[in-house]
Amino acid sequence: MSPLRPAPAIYRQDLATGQREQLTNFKGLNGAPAWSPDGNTMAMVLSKDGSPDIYLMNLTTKRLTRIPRHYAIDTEPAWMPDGKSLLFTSDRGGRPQIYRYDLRTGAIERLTFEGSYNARARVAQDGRNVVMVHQQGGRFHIALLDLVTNRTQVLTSTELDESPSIAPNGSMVLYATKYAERGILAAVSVDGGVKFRLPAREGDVREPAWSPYMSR
Amino acid sequence: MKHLPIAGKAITVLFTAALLVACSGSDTKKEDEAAAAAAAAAASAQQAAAAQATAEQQRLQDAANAVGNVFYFEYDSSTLTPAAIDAVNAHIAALQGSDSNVRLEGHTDERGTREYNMALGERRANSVRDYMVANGIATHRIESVSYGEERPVSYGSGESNWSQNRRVELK
Repeated sequence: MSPLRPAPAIYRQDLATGQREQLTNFKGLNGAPAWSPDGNTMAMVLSKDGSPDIYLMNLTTKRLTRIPRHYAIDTEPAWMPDGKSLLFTSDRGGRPQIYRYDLRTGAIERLTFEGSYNARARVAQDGRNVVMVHQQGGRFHIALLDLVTNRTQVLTSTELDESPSIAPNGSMVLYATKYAERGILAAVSVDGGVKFRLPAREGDVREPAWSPYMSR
Repeated sequence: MKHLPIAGKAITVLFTAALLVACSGSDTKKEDEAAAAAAAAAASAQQAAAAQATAEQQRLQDAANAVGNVFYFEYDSSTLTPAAIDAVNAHIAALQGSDSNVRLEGHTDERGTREYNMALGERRANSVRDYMVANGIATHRIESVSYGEERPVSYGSGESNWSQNRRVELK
């Protein structure tokens, strides 16, 4: 057995001061960190108790609470804009699907039923449109789920699309895909009407994210 | 080479015999010689047993090396295939005669999301770990980690590449 490499951990980095604080250092997965909209809580995935579960860390007290655990994979937490519920990916039904956890009542509800793979949800500021990775006919596309009508609309037609991120104004979705064996970024309008690739000169690019609206 | 139960038993028996001879009341030269002969026989038996155990352990290790240290999985599955079980069994046999530790590294193909694949890679590694533990390997000897889809061995898309990347590596 070769020597241990440093294990993954979650850090909080202050961009203004450059200060870095380690938040977790548990055995197993330490991943998928997601700030709550008010900035006081971090949702994350830890597998310290066996299977990956979603935890909420109070960033002041560093206290962890776990959302009801399940032996399946629970991962990719994403906050609703009001901070009252979380979306997450779970394969508790056999295949990965999107679920919603209500922080107040503790209720867990399955949201996606179309397709054998729906994962990594991201919610628009309106709290209605959800973008996610959706498998259809063996291909991975970006799809939009309308939480009011419960309709799923596939937005992209390329093959290995992932990491969708919805613009603060709700109009465009950035995502990562593969083109000519390279990781590139592309964008599509939320109605699926406009699609374009973002130029990337070299190397692989992935995991795009929008900067937030600046209030000052 | 720490555990040699057969050799250990033989030594115990022979040393007891030597001790009985040595303590049998008389200290005549003849009995001393008998004791020395018994001790020599014990030492030689010990060496022979140790050599035999070493050879057996080497055979098991060679068998494990021959099947390789990579176990493959079906798409989005962490269930051990019959081929994977055969391969893991060979490693279990080798580990039972040694005191070395192992690390199990779980991997996935590029399809699906990165975080889900991190979890899937971990579940694959744990699936091998649980099978080893169920077959007598102590949990503390096994460490499992996941690299998700981040460390493919075969680049490019298509099942011929993906099937190579859905794996657990034993190190």
